[in-house]
Amino acid sequence: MDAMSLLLKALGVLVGTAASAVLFNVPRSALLWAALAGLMGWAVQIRVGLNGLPPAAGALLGALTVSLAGEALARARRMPALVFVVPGILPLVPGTRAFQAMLALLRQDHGLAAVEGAQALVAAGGIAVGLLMGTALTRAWGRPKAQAPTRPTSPQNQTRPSRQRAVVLPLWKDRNDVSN
Amino acid sequence: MDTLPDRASLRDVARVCLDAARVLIASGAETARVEETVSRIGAACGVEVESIATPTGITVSVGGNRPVTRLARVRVRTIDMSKVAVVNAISRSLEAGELSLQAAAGELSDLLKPSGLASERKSRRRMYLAQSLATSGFALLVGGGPLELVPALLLGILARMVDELVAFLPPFLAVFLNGVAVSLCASLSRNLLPGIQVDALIVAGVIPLLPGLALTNAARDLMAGELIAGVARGADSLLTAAALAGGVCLGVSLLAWTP
Repeated sequence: MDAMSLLLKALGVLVGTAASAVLFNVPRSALLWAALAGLMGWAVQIRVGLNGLPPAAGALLGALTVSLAGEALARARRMPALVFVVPGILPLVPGTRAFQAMLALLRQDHGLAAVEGAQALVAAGGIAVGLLMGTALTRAWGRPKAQAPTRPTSPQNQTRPSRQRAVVLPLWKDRNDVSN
Repeated sequence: MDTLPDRASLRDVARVCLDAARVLIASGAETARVEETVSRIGAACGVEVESIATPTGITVSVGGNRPVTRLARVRVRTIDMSKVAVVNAISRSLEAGELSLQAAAGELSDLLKPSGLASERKSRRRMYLAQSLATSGFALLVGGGPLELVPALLLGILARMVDELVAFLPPFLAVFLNGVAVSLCASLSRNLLPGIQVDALIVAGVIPLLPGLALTNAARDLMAGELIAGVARGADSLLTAAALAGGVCLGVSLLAWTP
């Protein structure tokens, strides 16, 4: 693969990811970052592919990259990680393989269909596992927790003696409405 | 916050929690985020809050031993990440004390209202442009050249049109029909431009329709311990992908029949 076609593909990834981010109504200030996350994931996938590893490994590592980049961006930009991750994984999808598998099925070439289809399925599974791993890795650190309420019960509830007898409310009355 | 939580204020908190959750679920946020947002709002108001969210609804229970409980069903789900980001920001500023509960309730009810006609038209135009650009970008990615760029732009517009036409159908059927339309039109384009790579065109047209959000949400919810939502969303993404594949198969083979 020569440098020119690689550059062209990178451009395609940037445009495609940013445009699908618009399609998902991602806030305008996050568009460029989402596109960059997608580009990073795709670059990792290509690099892993050059090493001769199977496509599933590329998809897994690419998705892991997108997921980690999304989490980092989410913390830096104070936005949900979904905003960056959902458009970012689209370039990793094994679309061509899945399509070739379908074409082979239509031609009743079941051997080729099985090979291509299995590879596409495993690559799609790799994306899912990469996302899972990225989320699992980042859930451990630094997620700002919602604080426990400072005063769970009101002082009045504490001073009032607990009700001993069950109160039967009429059916037409709102059961939650016991204020009066 | 110093006053005791009477019924009326508990009801207010419950309403704000419910509205926030409804916006989040309807815009495609993951379930873990919905429950986290609800508990953030509760913490900001100093009351105990429990909630159970699923991809199709939310139950919120506010207050300690005599809670106010409300539930809401969410039937229409779209993908709108900016609403998710806005609700996220609202819950954060509520927690930081920069926003009062009343102001938050007002902003949330604005989010729940349908947008005006002018902004609707503007966002539709933006969607058409975005889908055509996305399709041509992905056409470059999957091996297309300059010859495929303009057909890919048109294909994106077509996919968007079909999307709007079949929006009333169940989502799986809509995606199936969209797959048929995209693959059929991409295959027909060979009659006009003999040298075109139909494969790249079809794959590029289909990529924006893939269930990326459902897959991402499934992974995030499963890792957050939201087993029901995670499995449900995983099934959703599998079914959507299968429907799309079936549609593309049908479109391609329909063309093979005609002489």
